[in-house]
Amino acid sequence: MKATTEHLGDLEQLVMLAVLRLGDEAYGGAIQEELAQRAGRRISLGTVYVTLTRLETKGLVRSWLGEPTAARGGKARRYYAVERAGSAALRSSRDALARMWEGLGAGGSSPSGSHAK
Amino acid sequence: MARWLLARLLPVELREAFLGDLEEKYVRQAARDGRVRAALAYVGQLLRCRPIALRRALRTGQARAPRMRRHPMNGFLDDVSHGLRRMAAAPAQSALAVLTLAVGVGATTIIFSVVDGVLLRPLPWDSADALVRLNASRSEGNWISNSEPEFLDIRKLDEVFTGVAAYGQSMPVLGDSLAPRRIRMLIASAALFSVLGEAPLLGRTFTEEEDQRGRDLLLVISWEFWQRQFGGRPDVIGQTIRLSDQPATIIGVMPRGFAFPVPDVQAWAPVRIDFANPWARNNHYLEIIARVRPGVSVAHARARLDALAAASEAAYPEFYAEGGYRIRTMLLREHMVGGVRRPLLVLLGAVGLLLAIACVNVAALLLARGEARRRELAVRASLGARSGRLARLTLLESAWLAALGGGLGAALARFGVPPLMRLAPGSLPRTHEVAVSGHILMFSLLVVLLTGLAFGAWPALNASRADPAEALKEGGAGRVGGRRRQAARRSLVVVQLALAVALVLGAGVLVRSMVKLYGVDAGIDPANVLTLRLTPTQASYPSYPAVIAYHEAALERVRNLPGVISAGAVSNLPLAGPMNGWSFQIEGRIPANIGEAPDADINMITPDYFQTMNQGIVRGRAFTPRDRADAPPVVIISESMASRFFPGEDAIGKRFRVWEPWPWMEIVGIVRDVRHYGVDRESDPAWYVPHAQAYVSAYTTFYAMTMVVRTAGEPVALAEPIRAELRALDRAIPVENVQPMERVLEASLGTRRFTMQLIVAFAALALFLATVGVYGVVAGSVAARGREIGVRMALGAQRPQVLTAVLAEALALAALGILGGLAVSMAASAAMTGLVFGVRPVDPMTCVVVAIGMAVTTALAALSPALRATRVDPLSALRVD
Repeated sequence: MKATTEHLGDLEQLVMLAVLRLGDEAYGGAIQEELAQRAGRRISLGTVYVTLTRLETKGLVRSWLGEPTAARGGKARRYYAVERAGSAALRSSRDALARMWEGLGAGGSSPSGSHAK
Repeated sequence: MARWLLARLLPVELREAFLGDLEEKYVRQAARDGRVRAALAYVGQLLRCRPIALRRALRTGQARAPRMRRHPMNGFLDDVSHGLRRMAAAPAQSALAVLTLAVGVGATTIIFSVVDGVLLRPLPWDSADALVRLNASRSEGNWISNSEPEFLDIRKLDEVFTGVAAYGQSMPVLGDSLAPRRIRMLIASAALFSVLGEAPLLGRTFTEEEDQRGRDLLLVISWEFWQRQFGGRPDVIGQTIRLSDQPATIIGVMPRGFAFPVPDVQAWAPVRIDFANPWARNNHYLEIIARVRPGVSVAHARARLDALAAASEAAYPEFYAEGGYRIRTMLLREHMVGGVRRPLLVLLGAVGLLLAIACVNVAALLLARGEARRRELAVRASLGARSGRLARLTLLESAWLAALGGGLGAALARFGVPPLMRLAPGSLPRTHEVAVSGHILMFSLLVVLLTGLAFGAWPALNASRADPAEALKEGGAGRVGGRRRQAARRSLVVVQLALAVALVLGAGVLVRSMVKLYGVDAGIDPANVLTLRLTPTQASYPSYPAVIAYHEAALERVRNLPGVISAGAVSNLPLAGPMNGWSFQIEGRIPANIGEAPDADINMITPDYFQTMNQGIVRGRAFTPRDRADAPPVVIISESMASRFFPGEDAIGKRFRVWEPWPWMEIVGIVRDVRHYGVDRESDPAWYVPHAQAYVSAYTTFYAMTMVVRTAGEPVALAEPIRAELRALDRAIPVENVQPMERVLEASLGTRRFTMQLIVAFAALALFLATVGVYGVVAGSVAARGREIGVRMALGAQRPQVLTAVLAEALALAALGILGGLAVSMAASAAMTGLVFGVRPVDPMTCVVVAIGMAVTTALAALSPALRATRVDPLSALRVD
């Protein structure tokens, strides 16, 4: 049975990529900071969790609770990791984008200059 | 709290992680950038996590993840925060609605607090409803104080009263010659404290035995006096102070808050009646309060007192033959607050109107908003939301407005009452007892709830009945359409206008009354006159000639000051207090006994008094410095006294005397009447004797006199120079109540002015709110009929025609409103009768003025939307679909 590859939204892709980059330290707060620093995308913590939960429901990421720490007032961190289906979805999105980008200049102009309307 | 709400909305699994992340970031940032920035970032994160977006997204996820439990309450909370966001989406409108409600609820709560504190709350003494106040009568309807024998008779009625106490006021001079001042003191019988049911805080009160003529002066002082004069020291008991040059020993201190009969009484001393040999039965100076025995009704007490009066009348015909003797029994509370009951209740009615206008305003607003959201609600309905849910949605938004508006209003009341009480006139009793208390706040909460239901119900019902298919079909998201709804909004505005008109009419009538009152010729010219009170003591001026000389010297010094035109003195200043009524015998009409003698108010004056007050002599002459003790006794009477006691004849040259063996006084002049008791009351007959002569011709010469000074410029400017002169003359005599005569006049109008000012404020607010309402409805109507207007203009209607049409529609509303307002005013005119002066409660001229004013205001309010209507581009209007 061939599994239908999920189509990922722009934010979903970024979040999953952040999870991949962060490896073992991929928890909500760190993901938010990574996105802010690396991608220049400032999103609220709530949105991060919304996205992660949605991804988890679709089976693209999984999560588990870590150890409680004093710095968090005795609360544990929830760590995330990308599942195989998630990696597949990411790759599919990247390929689709690459195909669309083919032939276009860096600034997005068409290969034969702009057409008059 | 936001964090709690957020936490509640997050599913359990994420709560910990989320909150932990926030804390971690806070800690890190606090270490890096300091706590303030970290806190700001923390709050920022919370706010940005729109709980609803979170919720909704999570829920769609939850449908496929059954392990996440759905909290039953979340739907409700969802709606609650949804309502808040709807409010935030239209900030200007919401702010206006909240403010409107706040003003309405706040004003109502304030007035209700005043009504509660003054009228409703029981008096601060034990079972105060058993306390009655007794007055004697001189003649029909003319109630006066009681005499000592009358008091002693009442005191014997053991079976009816547990205690009867008499009291009189006195204002002795306290202290030494360095800084003399007067205090208000009550001389009272020992039973006063047991009648009121109050025990002293320190020491004791005086006993019956100590309350006898000839005993020492003992003093029970107030808490304030104890604090101020003795610093709250416990060794105050036994200390002696000097009062009017007499020693007084302090034996007790009353607890804080004890104020009888008025808050500024600072000491209570025994009245020291000589029981064996009381003063004459016709010497009325005592007020009496009594406590009715438990089990005895006030009606029974009244009957018993009536019987006593009848018996006394029969037993002492020499005193009672002319006017008879009646005893009036009045509940103490009624005596204290009865006079202001009507103005306060009218104020309550007025503020109720204001609140109604505020509610109608907000209702119209929500109706309009409900219009705009019909589409959204239709979408929700088509997606399966039950009509109950839709109703709840709208109701919750109203609930938010009510909660915020009500909360703000309550805060307004809480902080507005104390300053208002400071501005209140002295004639408003019990202002120190007015406070926004627990049950007042609950009342205002109830008001908020009711208003919430009132204006939330209609749009909510409309929302739930909306036909989704219908709403989805029509084009344009902003259309405020629907014939029925327009009509509803119109009728709301008419109601608003009617109520506003009623308030403005009321205010107008009161303002006219005020103007009339100020215009009343009181008989004197109060402009540019400074008044002040001088109270020389008997110890410093032991004889009549001495005190007469003092006052003359004082006047002479003041006259010599630059800027002083003239100066005189009077024993009882008009509009500042009562006069003494004394009986007299007219030559040739000797009555058999004092009970049959006529009486009138007496005033002692110096020669320049009439001139200083510009009180004109009608016939004969004024007093001169030659009218001294060794000269023939003379008297001047007022016009009304002349016409009452010497009708049809020339009173000049006639004589009368106070009683044998006092000498006959010759009437040498007739002076104009003065409205002594208030500009809104007719003047009573009065007679004037020269201060220098009074002790020879009329029992005594009063020691305390009010000096009146006519100044060239501002009276207040001369206050200091005058004080300096008087201090130089005798620094032991306090100079008090220094104020311009105009202020005395104003103070006499205190309650009226206060009521008028408040109602004018309400009317202004009401007008503003009604204007906003008109603007809203006309704007809405223009927006709704954009298409129709476009069609008309395309078909050739000119701009002015469109303008006129819109304005006409607005004026039609105004007309209906004015008629409605008139109807309300007429219904309320009975209530207003007690408050107006010189005008009718529904005064035709005021009505016309107000009608024109409202029409103009309405037209102005409708102007902007009307202009907008003329600028409608027919083409774009036709294209809207």
